[in-house]
Amino acid sequence: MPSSTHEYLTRLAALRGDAILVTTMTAAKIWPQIEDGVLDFNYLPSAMSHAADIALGMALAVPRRLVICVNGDGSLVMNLGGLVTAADAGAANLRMLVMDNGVYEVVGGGRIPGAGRTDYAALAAACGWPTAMRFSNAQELADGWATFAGGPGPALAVLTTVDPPGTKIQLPARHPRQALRDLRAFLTGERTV
Amino acid sequence: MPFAADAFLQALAQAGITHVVGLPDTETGPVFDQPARHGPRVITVCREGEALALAAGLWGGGARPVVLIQSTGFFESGDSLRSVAHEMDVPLDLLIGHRGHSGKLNAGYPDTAPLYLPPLLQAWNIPTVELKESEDFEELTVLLKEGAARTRGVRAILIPQ
Repeated sequence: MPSSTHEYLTRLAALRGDAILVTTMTAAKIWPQIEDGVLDFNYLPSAMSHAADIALGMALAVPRRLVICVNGDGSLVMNLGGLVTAADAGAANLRMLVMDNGVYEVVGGGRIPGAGRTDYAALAAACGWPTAMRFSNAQELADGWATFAGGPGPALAVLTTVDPPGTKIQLPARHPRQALRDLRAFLTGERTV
Repeated sequence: MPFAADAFLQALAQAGITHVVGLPDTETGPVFDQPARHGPRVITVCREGEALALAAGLWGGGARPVVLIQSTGFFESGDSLRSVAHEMDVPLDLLIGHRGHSGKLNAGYPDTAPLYLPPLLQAWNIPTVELKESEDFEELTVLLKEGAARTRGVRAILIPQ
């Protein structure tokens, strides 16, 4: 039985350690219900696909720390070239989790092109990501985490996801503009930006 | 005469720039040819919209990037421009090749790019300055050093082509 976004993210909270976490779309409206710390950046300006670009930038700026991007399948297919860019940039500390539910959940559930047919893990591998995995539920994610997080990067894992109707989503308390400044201030030791 | 990529990167380094994110164009292509040189790290993206968001991530991570794209790439970047420039309000300089501005590039061939760049920059409320010459690197360093004091907002620096 596939896990929900909330179940995956609850498990991720116990696994992430001191990683920077970038979420977008549905995940960005669920993660703040679980955690909302200085290392969390919930990207919600409805600029689909760009959370992965932002996470890549953070990974290149802070190579000593893992950067985890919780991406959507709809966001990923809007910017498949980003997989090429990340591999070309050698972002060894970048990890991407693709919430694969086959639909544009955040706008009401319209079908994503290629849903059920496109193999995102195979795409990542073909683009040069040395680690590409698939998990069907939160327990599998936990069991495979050491390989995923500790193996060569960039690494991508596809998470088969089913969200029950009525899943509670809400906007994060901090605007992404402030969250990005908080993150920069923390990482650079600045008091204010 | 090929674009003086080493001098360009040196000018950026003098202004404290850590990363150049973008795509090669007709003029600035040599910047992306040898990314292992000293100075700012050069990151090549697959489409220009990636560049702005990637640069925002670099800034969030503590770096000081610039974006280097041509006007045609600026036209492609609207979605991430809105997000980065207006939603995130990231202080970022966009170095934009002003294709067709000098009339030297593709002389005699009608080009709509120079027609639409200025009004689009204005529509996006992006402050804009233009170098007198494409290799006026002294002026570029001055502008970027001034930009270091900015904590908010995107600015365009046009490179005439």
